[in-house]
Amino acid sequence: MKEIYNIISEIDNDIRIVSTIEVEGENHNECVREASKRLYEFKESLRFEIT
Amino acid sequence: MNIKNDIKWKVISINFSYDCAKTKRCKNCYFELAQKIKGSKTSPKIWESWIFSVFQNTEQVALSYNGKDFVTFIEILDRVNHYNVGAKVNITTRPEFLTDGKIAYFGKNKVNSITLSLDIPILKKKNLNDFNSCIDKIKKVGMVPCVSILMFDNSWSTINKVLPLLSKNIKQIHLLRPKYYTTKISKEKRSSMLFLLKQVDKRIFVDQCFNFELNGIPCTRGSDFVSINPDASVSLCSFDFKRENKFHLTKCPFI
Repeated sequence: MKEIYNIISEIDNDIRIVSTIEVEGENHNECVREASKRLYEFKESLRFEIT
Repeated sequence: MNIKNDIKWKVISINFSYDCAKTKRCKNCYFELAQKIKGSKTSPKIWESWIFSVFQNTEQVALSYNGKDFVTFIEILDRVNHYNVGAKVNITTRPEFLTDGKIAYFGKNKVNSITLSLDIPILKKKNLNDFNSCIDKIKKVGMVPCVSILMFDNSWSTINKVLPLLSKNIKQIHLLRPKYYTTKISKEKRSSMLFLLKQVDKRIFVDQCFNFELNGIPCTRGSDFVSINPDASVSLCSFDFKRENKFHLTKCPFI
């Protein structure tokens, strides 16, 4: 079953990263976590750069 | 099991904000951010690896250009084009940041659409002829011109007057409720707004916040929006009352 998820990640209200993903398979929670983790890592690297 | 194969990245949006998130547009916020970015050492490796791993199979990429550091911006745009030849690319910016040269550059570099972000002070001050001329130039180089307008309480009367004067070349007009901004619209006003939105211009789209206020129908955000917490855990939106909520979010990311 396919479902759409929107994931929002922000850095101090300055930079906002929004991703929309479509998830297949049964393990939606794991997929969302994996996608979120990648966005989170990216967000944190940006935070380090701009502060 | 490789769950990465089950994830399809449909849209990636990276926005360097020039709006104050909590109140009306604030120049100080924007300039402070511009200074931060200007003073930072861009990390090509981080951008490169991330863009490669995510952008490669992303259907749409949305970038915002805040008027500063065009060199870095086109570097990001070049990488998006390099790693993903099929993605639709949209750039959101303000009209005053677009010169003829930049429009031509975007047109030559596989940018599909330009969304011009407006607010009421700009619509009141700006000469609409200049603005419409900008829209026409965007279309002339093969890109799709769109407009997004921030909707505050007092915005409606201006929007009402300005809409008929906007260029017919605009493909879509997005009316957006500013983040963290919510208010109650009277029943009478809501009815007249809905009537006009449906009757006057079919190019108009509203975001979920605004749609919720207009129609009084609970937005779907609760069921499909998640947010990343400071500890990297994931939460569902606090508006989600239907699911068994394993997580707890104290504040909706938008309101």
